[in-house]
Amino acid sequence: MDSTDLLRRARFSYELGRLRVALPGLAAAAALVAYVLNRPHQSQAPLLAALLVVGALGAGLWRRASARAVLPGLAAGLVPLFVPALAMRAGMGCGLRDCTTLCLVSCLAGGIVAGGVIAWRSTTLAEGRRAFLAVAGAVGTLAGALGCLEFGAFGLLLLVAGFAVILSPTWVLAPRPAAA
Amino acid sequence: MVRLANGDRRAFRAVFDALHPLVLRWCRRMLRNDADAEDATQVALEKLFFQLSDFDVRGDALGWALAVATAECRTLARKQTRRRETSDAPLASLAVDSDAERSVAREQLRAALGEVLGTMKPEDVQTLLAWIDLAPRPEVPGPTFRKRLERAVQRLRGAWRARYGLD
Repeated sequence: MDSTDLLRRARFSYELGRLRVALPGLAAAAALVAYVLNRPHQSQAPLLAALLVVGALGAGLWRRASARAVLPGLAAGLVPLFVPALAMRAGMGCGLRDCTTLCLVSCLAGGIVAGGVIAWRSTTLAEGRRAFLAVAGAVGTLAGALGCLEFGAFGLLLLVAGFAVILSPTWVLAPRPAAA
Repeated sequence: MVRLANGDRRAFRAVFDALHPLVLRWCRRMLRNDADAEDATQVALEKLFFQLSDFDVRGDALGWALAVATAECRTLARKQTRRRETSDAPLASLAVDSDAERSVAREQLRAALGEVLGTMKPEDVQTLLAWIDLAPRPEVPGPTFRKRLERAVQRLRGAWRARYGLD
């Protein structure tokens, strides 16, 4: 076997290895999406779900720091995904004008809590903290958006604001990656 | 290698160019055969790049790469030993298949059996010969004969093992 052929095979093996690293995050994202889409959902939910799955795969394949951010991002995203639904189920009266605010607040609070979880998790990393914050924040936002989509664009905006309030300063304060 | 392990694909060519000759030299030294060394290098490099994403960047990159190559060389060497053993088996059966070989083997076996029987008690030998209809069967009930035969076979086995070291 000549060197070029071996180079090609080695490259293929490397990409397969990266795919293996991406698989747990991809599987978790797919499971989450399957759960959400199997329940009554908004018409835009499949688009967000597709973005989440593609994002999880892309992050898993891209870098080590991004690959290890997928699962924490998904786990953090469960908070804004389920808190609004719990708020509705708890009879907080979403649908009634006065109480809708509470459901919207649950999106904001969910975003803040999820952002806090991601920021706390990032402090345990020795390097790649900024990439971790960015990827976990994006994945968490997409996962949470599947829940806050119920409350329209304003719900999504509050969710993003919740994440941003915590993650932006954390990202700024995180050490810059060393030049390669 | 640290950059590649972290996902920086721009480092791929440099890592490959550094590792390929190194692993090949290592495998040549281990296997002492160019063709085998190239086979082992190919598989080792594929495994190495497959596992590279798991590589602990604080560890010794060269040591890790050579450990993967060593494992692959050992596996290949073991496989080839096994293949050589199994490929010898059909040759052996072919040799025995020829009539001359078979009759020589039979004669050797008969001589070996004769030597072992010579060391046994005459009653046991008589029982064994009666079992294969080469001697008259003693006037004893069936169960008694079976019991004697069982003991005689056990003793034959023991004597054979003591002389030749195998069953």
